[in-house]
Amino acid sequence: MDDLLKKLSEIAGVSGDEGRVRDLIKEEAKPYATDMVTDAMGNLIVYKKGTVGAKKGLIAAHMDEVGFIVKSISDDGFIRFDSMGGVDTRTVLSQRVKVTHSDIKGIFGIKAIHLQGWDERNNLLGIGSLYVDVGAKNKDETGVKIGDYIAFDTEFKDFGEGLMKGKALDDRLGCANLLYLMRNEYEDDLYFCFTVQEEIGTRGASLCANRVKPDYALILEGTFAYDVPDVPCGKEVTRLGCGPAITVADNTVICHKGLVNRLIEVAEENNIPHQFKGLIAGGTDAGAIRTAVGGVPAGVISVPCRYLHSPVSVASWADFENVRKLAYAWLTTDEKF
Amino acid sequence: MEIAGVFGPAGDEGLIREYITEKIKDIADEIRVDAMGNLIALKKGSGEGKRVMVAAHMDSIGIMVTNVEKEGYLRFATIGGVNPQVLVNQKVMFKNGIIGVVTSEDKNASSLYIDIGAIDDADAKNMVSFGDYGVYYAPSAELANDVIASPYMDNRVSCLVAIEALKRMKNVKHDVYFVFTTQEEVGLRGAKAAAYSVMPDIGIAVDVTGTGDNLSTNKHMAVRMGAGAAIKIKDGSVLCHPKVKAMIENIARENEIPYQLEILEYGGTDTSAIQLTGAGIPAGAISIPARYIHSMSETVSLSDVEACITLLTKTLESDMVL
Amino acid sequence: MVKEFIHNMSLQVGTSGYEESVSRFVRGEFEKYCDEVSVDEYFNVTGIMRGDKWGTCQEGKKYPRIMICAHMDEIAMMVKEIDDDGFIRVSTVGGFDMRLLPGLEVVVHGKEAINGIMAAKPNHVQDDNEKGKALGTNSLFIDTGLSAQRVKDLVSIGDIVTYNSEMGELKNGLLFGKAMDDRAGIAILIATMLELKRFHFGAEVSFVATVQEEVGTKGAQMVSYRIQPDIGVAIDVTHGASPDAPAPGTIPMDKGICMAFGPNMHPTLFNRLKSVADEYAIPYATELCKGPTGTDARSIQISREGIPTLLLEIPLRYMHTPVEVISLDAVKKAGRLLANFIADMKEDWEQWTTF
Repeated sequence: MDDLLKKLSEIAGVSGDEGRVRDLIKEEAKPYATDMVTDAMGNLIVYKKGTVGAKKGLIAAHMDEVGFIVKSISDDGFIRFDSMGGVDTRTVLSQRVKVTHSDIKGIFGIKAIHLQGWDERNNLLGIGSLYVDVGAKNKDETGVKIGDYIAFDTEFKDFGEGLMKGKALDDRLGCANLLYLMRNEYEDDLYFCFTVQEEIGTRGASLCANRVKPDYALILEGTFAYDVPDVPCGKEVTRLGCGPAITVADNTVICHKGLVNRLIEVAEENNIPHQFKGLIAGGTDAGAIRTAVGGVPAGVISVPCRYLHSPVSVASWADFENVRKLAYAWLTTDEKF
Repeated sequence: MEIAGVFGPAGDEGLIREYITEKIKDIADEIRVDAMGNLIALKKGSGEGKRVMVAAHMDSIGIMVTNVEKEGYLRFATIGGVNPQVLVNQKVMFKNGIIGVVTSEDKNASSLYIDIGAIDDADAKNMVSFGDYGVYYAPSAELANDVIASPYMDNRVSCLVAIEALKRMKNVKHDVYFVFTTQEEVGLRGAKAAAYSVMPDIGIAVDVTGTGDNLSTNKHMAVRMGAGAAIKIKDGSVLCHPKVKAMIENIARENEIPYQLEILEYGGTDTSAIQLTGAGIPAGAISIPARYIHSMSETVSLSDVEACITLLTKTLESDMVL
Repeated sequence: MVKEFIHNMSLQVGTSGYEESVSRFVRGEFEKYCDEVSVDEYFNVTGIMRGDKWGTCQEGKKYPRIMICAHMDEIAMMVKEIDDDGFIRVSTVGGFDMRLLPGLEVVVHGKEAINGIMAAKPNHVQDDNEKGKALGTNSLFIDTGLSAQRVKDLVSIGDIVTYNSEMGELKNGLLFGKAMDDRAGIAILIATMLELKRFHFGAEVSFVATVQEEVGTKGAQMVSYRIQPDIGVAIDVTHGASPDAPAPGTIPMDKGICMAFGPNMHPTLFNRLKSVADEYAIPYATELCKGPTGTDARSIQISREGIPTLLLEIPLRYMHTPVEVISLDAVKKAGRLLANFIADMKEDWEQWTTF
């Protein structure tokens, strides 16, 4: 069991509220960093000087996760909110949460099935109909303020055979891999960027690129695995246990073709299983970085995750480790693209 | 399957009761008919066994005449779970042999009536009257691979299983009450009365169950026709006693009888009526997998029927310790 | 003590029809306080406590035999199919709101307890006509993360699936977890026993943890027939007020306990319960139940020749979810009320069961 990943997964850090995650990462990065800076938006950039220093590489993962933000608190002590990022709202009812301002425990309430009419039972509830119950009798007792963030409260744990389950695997898996990767030495100067606000529009990443002005960039992500029942054949996107998913293109980026080809070559040379992200959809920090500072050759490799953007996602330990292996192998080759 | 063709809708089981009585009267030690019309046949054990009730309902679904239109057409009510859609343009038969065709006023079968060929209401009333029962009139057919399609496999195939078990079982120490129950299709009514008077230590119902092996998508029932006797875990009316289920499953395993575990998400069986008798009676069920239940073409595999007979026989021959 | 009991009780696996294991736990707890404990064929657990004055009545009089029931079964799912990839399909036992199932963590009770996640096909590949609609059991599956072979080795059709939900605490001593309906009721039985230990009384009390309430109050039907009490009391939960189900119609959580009245309850006995509560200054709400209630009281009242019946409830929010919320305070108050109600049954108790 990887304790770092458990810590990263269980800590709350909804888009805009990444402070706790950043503090944890700073602590973990300290022994390996040449320098660290937190920029105006909250991105954490960990600089690691290269042994040669001829080129600059940017390796990014986002710190934020999907969640909610408090919009109002009723007189009888119930909390209303809006979603932050693309939460799968089908999965939130009766889940546990933490209101992060002071880690107040709460649950998403839903009136009993006995009190639901047939129409109510058959139609999903919009975000406006949902509420969080912290057990307070009135507004003051809640201890919650408007603008507080609400994160899922899910235990990270080994799951099934060779898998893990937990919240925010997108993209704490990437954060963990960055922290592991920075323990090694590299020829190039590397900037490990832990970005903010990816889930609400990849808003942090371009600032990192603007600051670093890298020669190349690699983004480590968590991506959709639809290898589950009822999904039409060919729409699986990625499959758990089949290795790092290499992105050719998504809604925000067409990855640098040469760089993608090099990733594949490196994977093959090192016998690292790999797959393509079989769907042109979604967006990552690569979109923001690719077009920054006059254009950056950028690529994305992801850990396939089932049930992304829900309170509990599932990923494979082997995939997680193989993403790291592939990133390391690529970072240590002379030719990046 | 001759037994499936015998007239016997819920509430009018006289003919089927006579038919079954004829088949078992020489084997059973005692036979009686109770106030609900249940046929209760006791086969005495060699002693020191339990009181066991085997219930197979002998009634069927059907229709009942409620009115005669002046044109000679019959209005009717359905008895038990009859789907009006399956009745349209099909034939029904009354107890006296009169046959009629069911037809619909509109496309969605919301208003049905029966044509018996009568010229007017007086003519019709000479043949049938208010309260007369009708049943599906359709031939039994043999499909490939010993598969039979017929009306009323629900539940005559189970009556057959019970009769065969009664005939085949040997060295049974329990007093086994074979009860051919009435009015199951209208709410397990016969079994409720019979279970109270028999007050067994263990009850086993025999009935048909649905299958998940047709082409409709998004059905996830693990029972397949031809894959063996089904041992019930639950249906819409009952959660079988886990130890009764385990006992029957062990017997199937020990005797290498093909079996499958059944979860039926709708429907009800006599199991439920037995379970709730007195202070509670451990009850379970053996089911014959059947496709297209409550249609004119209830379809079963003879291999499953054979497996059910063997399983019931071996169960009754066992110690039946829970 | 009561809180710890509720915690342990909530974690017990005892779904309708499969109460053997929870019955063992309850039996052990009842044995600490009762004179006699028995378990019947369907695993209803009965603990008998006789008052010190039991059997000391004058000629021609007797103290009452009182039965107090709370159900120990919980709603659950059951494995109905295992597919070629090892994903599990389920059937439900008891009333589920299908909308809350996707994303829930569950435990599949196969040869060993297996953690699983309830999921549905991703919303991105749903058809337009599926979007915004609740998913039925046939559209949901459980992922255990195990290989198909391993799943088939460990799990079989009919195995029970429960919510994976450890008890937690909110503000104001509100506890949340699975199966508080009606394990909180069993806690009330225990609380009553603890209180009753301190009283001199005459009645013979049968405390019963019933089975199969969630599938039709079946256990109560069985035990009422067997015990034939003079007075029957069902303990259950009722709906606590929440923003989507405000009072009236639901009971505010801080109201404490709730006494039901209506045709399912004996009117004189109901008045008696109220006057005991008033006398001992135990706050309560009342709830009108217009027909047969969906509780054990439904079956108790019509057993044999009829049994004068009461229904005592505590409010619970989010019934049948993995996070049912109850108030610890209400559990304790209910215990205190019941103990006083029992101890106040003197030789003239029969007047409370007439009209």
